[in-house]
Amino acid sequence: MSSRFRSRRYRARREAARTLAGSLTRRASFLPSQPTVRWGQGLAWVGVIVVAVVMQTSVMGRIQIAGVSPDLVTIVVAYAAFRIRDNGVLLLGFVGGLLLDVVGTAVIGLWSFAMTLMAWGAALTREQGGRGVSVNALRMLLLTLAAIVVHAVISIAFGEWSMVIWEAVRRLALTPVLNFFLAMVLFPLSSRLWVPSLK
Amino acid sequence: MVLTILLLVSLMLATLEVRAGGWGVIRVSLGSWLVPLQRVATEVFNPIVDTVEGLVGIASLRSENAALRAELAETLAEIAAVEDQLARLESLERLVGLDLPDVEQARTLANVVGRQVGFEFHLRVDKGLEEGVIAGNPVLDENGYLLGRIGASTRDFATVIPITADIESLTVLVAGSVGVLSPRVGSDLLSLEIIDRPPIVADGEKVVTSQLSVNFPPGLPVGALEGQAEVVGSVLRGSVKPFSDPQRVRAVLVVSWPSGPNE
Repeated sequence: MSSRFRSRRYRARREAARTLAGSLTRRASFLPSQPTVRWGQGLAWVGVIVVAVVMQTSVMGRIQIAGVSPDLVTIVVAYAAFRIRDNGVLLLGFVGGLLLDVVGTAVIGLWSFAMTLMAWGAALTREQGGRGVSVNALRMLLLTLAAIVVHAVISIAFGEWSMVIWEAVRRLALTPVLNFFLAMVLFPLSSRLWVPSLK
Repeated sequence: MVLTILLLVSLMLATLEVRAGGWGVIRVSLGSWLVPLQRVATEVFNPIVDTVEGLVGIASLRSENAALRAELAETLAEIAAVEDQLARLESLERLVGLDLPDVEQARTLANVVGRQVGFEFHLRVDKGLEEGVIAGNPVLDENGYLLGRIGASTRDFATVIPITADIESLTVLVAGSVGVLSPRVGSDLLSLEIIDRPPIVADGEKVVTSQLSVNFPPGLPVGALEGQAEVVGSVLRGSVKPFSDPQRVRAVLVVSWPSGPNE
């Protein structure tokens, strides 16, 4: 141990810090809990969701299987639920949906509504998602299915339904399956790189 | 709480856009800064996607190539069919404008729709009894040369027996003398025999139907003498090559002959 830690000045500062922390803790006990906001991390996730939206609307359209592309934004929000807190996940889902709304031609707010609900589901099921590859893939399938169904319902409610029924059924059936397999592939990578809770 | 707020905001945004106008400006202003990012992403990832698609598509390219070849063959067949139709049309036009010597009888144009190759070579035409084509009618090709006669006729079609495959002989006129043309088995040439007063004939002498012929109108060109005719005793014998070619004919002209009782 260095001499710095043994010095009187250091011990005095440590005592003062403990006193201040105790005082703050006592004050906080009378106030509602305020989670620590990490603006840097939040901005990084917003950047990730922007990249996901850009990729979804520019590149993923070319990667089609039976005329359907994987839903990258849903995957990002679902994986973000492992890393950030509930409100952050909700905001991330809302922002992702809003960006999808802005890029698209339909009514603004439909995708943000659906993605916010999906983010809520992702936050609720984060514990289950960490249990293994197949469970997380199944979680991804259900979340994608929920997002598409909610978007379809809210689109019908706002009179924005212009899709042929068979096209809708095909998209409803295939997109969750594609996300399922994509989650199977991404799970080992994500658990090593940016989801420490899955290690 | 946050969930409720965000959902309400989403519904409010949607409601405002549906109920109130002018939100297109917001969409354009918000979405405009995503366009450069989309362009960059497209330029970066499109070559990669192209490469992957190329690798994945090698297998499908083979099947696509085979399908294209089949389509090309089908198209070529259609072109050949169209060309055949054009040639047939040309033949029919020539048959319509044909000027036949001393033939005033009714004429019927018919398409050759089949060829029977075997022991009894004959052609099948698409006109029959309903169009007045009956057995025994003379048949001419598009140049007006004698091709043969109708062998049998049904309601919808008839068979044509070429003169080279007929079992009956043909009475002809060669250089003013009447002779008989008979088919040769296994040959495209006809045998000519002139019994009465054999004339002096040369190679290429034209042979036409005689006015003594019962089955054909007189003056129809039949063929030309091929090679030198030889006189054996009082009979002149030679070979005649018919002008008409039953293998290549596409359309024929059927002449109503012999004449009916009212003619």
